[in-house]
Amino acid sequence: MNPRALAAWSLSGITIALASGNPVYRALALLCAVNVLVALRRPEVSLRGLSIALVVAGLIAIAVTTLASHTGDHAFLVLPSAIPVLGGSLTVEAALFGASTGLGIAAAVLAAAPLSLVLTPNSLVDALPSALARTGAAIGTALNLIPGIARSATEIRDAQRMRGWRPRRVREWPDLAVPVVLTALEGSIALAEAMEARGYGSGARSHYSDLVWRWADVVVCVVAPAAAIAFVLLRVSGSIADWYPFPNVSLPPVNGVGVACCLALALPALVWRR
Amino acid sequence: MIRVLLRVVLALPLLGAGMGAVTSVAGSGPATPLCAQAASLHHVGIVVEHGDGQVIRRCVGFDTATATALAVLQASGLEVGISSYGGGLGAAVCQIDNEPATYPPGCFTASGSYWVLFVSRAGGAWATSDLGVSSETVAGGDGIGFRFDPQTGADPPPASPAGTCPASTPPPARTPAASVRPTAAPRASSSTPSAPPSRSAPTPPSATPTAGVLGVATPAASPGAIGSLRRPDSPPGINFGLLLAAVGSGGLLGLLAIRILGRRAV
Repeated sequence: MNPRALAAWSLSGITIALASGNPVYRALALLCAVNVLVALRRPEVSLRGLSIALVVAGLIAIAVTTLASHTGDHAFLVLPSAIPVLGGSLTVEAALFGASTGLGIAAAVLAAAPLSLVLTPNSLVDALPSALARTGAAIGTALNLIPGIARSATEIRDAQRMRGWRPRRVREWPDLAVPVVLTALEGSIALAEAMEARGYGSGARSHYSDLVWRWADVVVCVVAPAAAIAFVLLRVSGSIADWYPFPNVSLPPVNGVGVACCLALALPALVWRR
Repeated sequence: MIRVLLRVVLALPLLGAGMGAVTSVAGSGPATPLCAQAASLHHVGIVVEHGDGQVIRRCVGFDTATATALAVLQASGLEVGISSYGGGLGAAVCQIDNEPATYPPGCFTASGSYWVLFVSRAGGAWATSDLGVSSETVAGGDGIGFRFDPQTGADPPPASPAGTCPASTPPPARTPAASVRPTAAPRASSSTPSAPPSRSAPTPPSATPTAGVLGVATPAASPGAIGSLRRPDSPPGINFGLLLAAVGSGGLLGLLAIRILGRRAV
């Protein structure tokens, strides 16, 4: 698949997921993104971590909305009003609104996830326009440093423990943080020297193979943005409405064309093959 | 250290749930109505003007020197939905008499209409209130007005509160609460002939709009279990969009199942 076509699809998916507060459209965008991820992800990539993170994010969204929003007619618990912010009725409506918010977050994250779980970092950097090549290389390099720092932190923590380090207070954490930061700086400098030695930044980036546009890439690149634009137009014109469960829960208003726009996001799972 | 933190994290929700259960039980008793009897010392007129021009009038009586506009509104028997502004402003009125049908948790949408609160002091002209409905206080002879108004443009006041309550009703002898009856004035001349089904059922008009009107202080009935999920403004019949969404979801789930099973088989 063409990285630029996938980027266009991701942008379209994020647009549809966030353009409306309606859980029906969000759920459809989420299902499409999951289908694309399962069909096209790199073989060595596991979706377990992402799934857990999204479930946790969804639960947090439900908990925060339920505790902070005391609107709605159907209370299932009443916290003492003396408790700041949290005091008041906890309602079914607020919990459902939190679930809808969590659904939107999950749909948007899953729409962006193929950029890292389907594409390799170098193909993504290659797909950037030449004007953004250096910026993309810098961002990609910085992002690649994050897992390295995490590994380094684990190793340093284990080493400190073997020396008898037992942190009991927050002020003892610099014993771990200082070596981690120093190691990260050393790693960054070494990486920069290695890149310079290999000629990064000295001229235009060359490619082993140019990007190829197949018919499936063109179809995805046309259909997904068109669906997103149509969805936004429907949203602006009022045909696609937000959903609020307050004060009583009701079924979300659903527009057939809006649903079709969401379903169009499933196209990569049907036309692309890994 | 980590164990202690874990214990605290586990104990807090349990403590909160326990306190909530106690409060919930404590708060489940019958609420004291604002005006338990018709023989109230003070009366406040309420004028509610819907977005379609329909006007509802209520007269609410109470015995205390002053009352909050929210208490008076809730005592009128009209359906009310509120949300907190936060701080000292008090509560915002999000919904009256099921208009709008739904509203966001913050009460206000980016561009939709909202309920503007007006206050009339001692029969004077309407003035917009600078406070939330729970912080605004009224006394006998005052009036409270609500108008469902777009966010753009000026905020014209609702219909005049004059005549909503009896002009000078001497405190009658205390009568049983059963004799108190809710009344609503007929709609204003500009109102539409029939109200939407979600609104309050129109009550039979009295002989004159103000004849012997004494508001009832029955708090709105607490909602029961969530029964119908149908939107109040949706027409009956099959929703094509919802049907398409259900079919599409089924197809996507089926496709997903085939993919996962296919991967496992490999």
